[in-house]
Amino acid sequence: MRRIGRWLLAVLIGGWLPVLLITWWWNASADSTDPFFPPLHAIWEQFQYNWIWQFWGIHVMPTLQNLIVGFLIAVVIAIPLGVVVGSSRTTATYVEPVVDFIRSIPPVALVPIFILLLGLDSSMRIASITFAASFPILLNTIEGVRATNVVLLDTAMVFRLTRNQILWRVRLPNAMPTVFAGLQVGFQIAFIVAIASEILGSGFGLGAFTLIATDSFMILDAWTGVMLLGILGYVLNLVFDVVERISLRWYFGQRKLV
Amino acid sequence: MTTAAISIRDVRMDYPTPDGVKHVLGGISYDVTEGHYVSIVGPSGVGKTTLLRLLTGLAQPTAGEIIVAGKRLSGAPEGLAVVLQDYTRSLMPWLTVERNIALPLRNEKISKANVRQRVKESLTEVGLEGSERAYPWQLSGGMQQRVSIARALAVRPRILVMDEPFASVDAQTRFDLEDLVLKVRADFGITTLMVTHDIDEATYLSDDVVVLYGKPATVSDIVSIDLAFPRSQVETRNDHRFAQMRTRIYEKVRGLS
Amino acid sequence: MPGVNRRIPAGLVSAVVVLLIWQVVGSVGPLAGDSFATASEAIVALIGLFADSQFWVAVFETLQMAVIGFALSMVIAVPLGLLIGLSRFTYRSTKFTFDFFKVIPPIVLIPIAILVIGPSIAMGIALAVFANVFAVAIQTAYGIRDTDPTLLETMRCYRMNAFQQIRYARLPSAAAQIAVATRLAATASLIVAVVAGLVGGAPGLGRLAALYQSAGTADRTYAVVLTLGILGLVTSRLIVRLQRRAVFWSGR
Repeated sequence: MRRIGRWLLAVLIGGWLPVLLITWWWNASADSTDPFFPPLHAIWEQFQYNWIWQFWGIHVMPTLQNLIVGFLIAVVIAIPLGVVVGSSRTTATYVEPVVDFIRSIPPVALVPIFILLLGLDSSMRIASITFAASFPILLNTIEGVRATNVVLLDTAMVFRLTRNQILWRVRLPNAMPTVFAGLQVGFQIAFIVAIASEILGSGFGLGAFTLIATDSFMILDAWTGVMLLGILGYVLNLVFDVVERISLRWYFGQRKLV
Repeated sequence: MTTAAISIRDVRMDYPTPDGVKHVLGGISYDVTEGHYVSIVGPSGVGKTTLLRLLTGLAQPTAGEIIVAGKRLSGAPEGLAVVLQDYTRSLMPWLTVERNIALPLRNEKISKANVRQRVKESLTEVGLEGSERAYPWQLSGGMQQRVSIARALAVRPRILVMDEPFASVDAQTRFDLEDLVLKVRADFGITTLMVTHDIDEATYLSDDVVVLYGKPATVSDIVSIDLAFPRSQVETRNDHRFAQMRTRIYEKVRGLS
Repeated sequence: MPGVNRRIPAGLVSAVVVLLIWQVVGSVGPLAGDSFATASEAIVALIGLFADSQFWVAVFETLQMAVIGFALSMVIAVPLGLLIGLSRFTYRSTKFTFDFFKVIPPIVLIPIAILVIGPSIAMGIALAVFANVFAVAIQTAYGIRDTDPTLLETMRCYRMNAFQQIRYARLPSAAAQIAVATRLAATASLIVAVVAGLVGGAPGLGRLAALYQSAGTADRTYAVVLTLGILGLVTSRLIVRLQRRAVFWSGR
């Protein structure tokens, strides 16, 4: 019973501010005639219309599909590559500076390159997403595999575990927290590049929809697009956090006690 | 004469440094009798851990050789188990206690049921029966070190090597663990080598205490502890011969004699 | 290492190797063609850009947006964070809201920003502020809250009052967190400046890259992208150096 009470209290403390802000916005804009800031209730109605009835399949699904496919391809390429590179100190020393440099390029700036190469369709989008997302994942995987703690390695060696066993049962689990951090950053970048590739590209997608709405001065639609993007960004990040907490239960459990 | 379980023959260890070569170990020779408990003591930084790394095969001596079970050492020998000081970093935090202990057994051809049995026996031996499903970090420091010892026992080693195993636990726990180690010795008779900076502990637990001293380090003394087993924290430590031997070791470690 | 002079840094060797691979891939093979610039073409274009005043204006504009946006975010966020952090209630009240906004990438706001502010330097600055203010404020607040309780108890034993505790314990503790947040904000500001230009039409290197791409001049596009990479690298190295000196005791 106490736990529910505490949880309720936490929700109240965290929630009163956003509720207040939204209420204030709702009332303050109720009779607004400003072309750029329409009444919140009008935006809300349009939001429901667009996303629940009309455009989910046409615009939101393509964005999500490209995002997930692009990200997964990046994971499938970058993690094994990172493990291989990270396992050898010399390879890591040579590969890391280059990866670091490419990673310093603002990911969105890579989209024009892919537009030149692939045009404006979904292959360009997926390629941009994959390319941009793989670098943080690669870098973190290399770091994670390299930084295995010496005491674990020594113990494993004395107990005569084979090189393979050491890789799979010691290095990789030990690297998981760092790899996950890389995955999270990679996913955030994938999201941004997905939107950018649509705005710069053409056709369908949430980013494309919002841009067209902006260009056509369909303000209500533009607002609904922005809002959905914001909510999507937050929710996807949340899902990622939850998955991380479940997969790395041992890591978080250990840290809590320190 | 019992054959030596480990024979250390004129072992030297040098390290290259930016300013030349550092001679850490200079000509160490010692034979470890089968079934004996041997402590290696010496001042800080003398090279005790270096010697231990050579004995576990994690490093190769610059000169000399180490013979284990009649074979020259090159790499980790069979039948050797290790317990290190830093238990938080030598137990895998993502595995349960049971899986941690079972891990080194993967390379032996033992059935799953047997593995489970061994894990159970080892945990019982160290006084932790029932904690198979816990994670190491959920246990106290002393308990984690017991898990480490259980892991070493499960392998049924011929030689047990320990590097300052009780340095990271509090004094009370240390006494409990020392007595645990004595019990293990009585039950299994495994040849044991322990590096420690605690001279009292070395005197209490060992058959022989080897003192390393000097730059480069050599065997400064070998003190035979001929106090009877079983030993007790109260009576043995009160014995005047305990104090004598302890003092002799202390003086050697400090270079006073 | 056999065959390699130890004095040549690994980064240089890999850079040369990558450039060579790039050159080969661009000259022979499926990618060769007008839509792909080889390393030599990109470098030549880069040198050509150095002589172009339009390029330097763009660099300046991008840096302007990044620097002003960064400075403005810090000026707003750090005091805000300090105030929020002082009280447990304010911290817990604002945490959810700030965490929500801090996760939203500024690109999401660009359509509205284009309408309300218009593609301009001001838009870039506003987006940079949005990108940073929530993260820095919450991180600062966390730093204040996260002061080692043992330290505070010790001070209380020595009968030091609340103001002294803030000044001598909480603020330095917050400084470490602020340093981390600053580093992230600096890199983020540059990225946002580029995004504002590329996607939103704000002036600067971002817009230049979009321009060259739509004109089909691959070599110049690549040259601008290289410039951005160099800028990004230099910024992050600089910030790390400054951070180390400012908060040398925290071991970060």
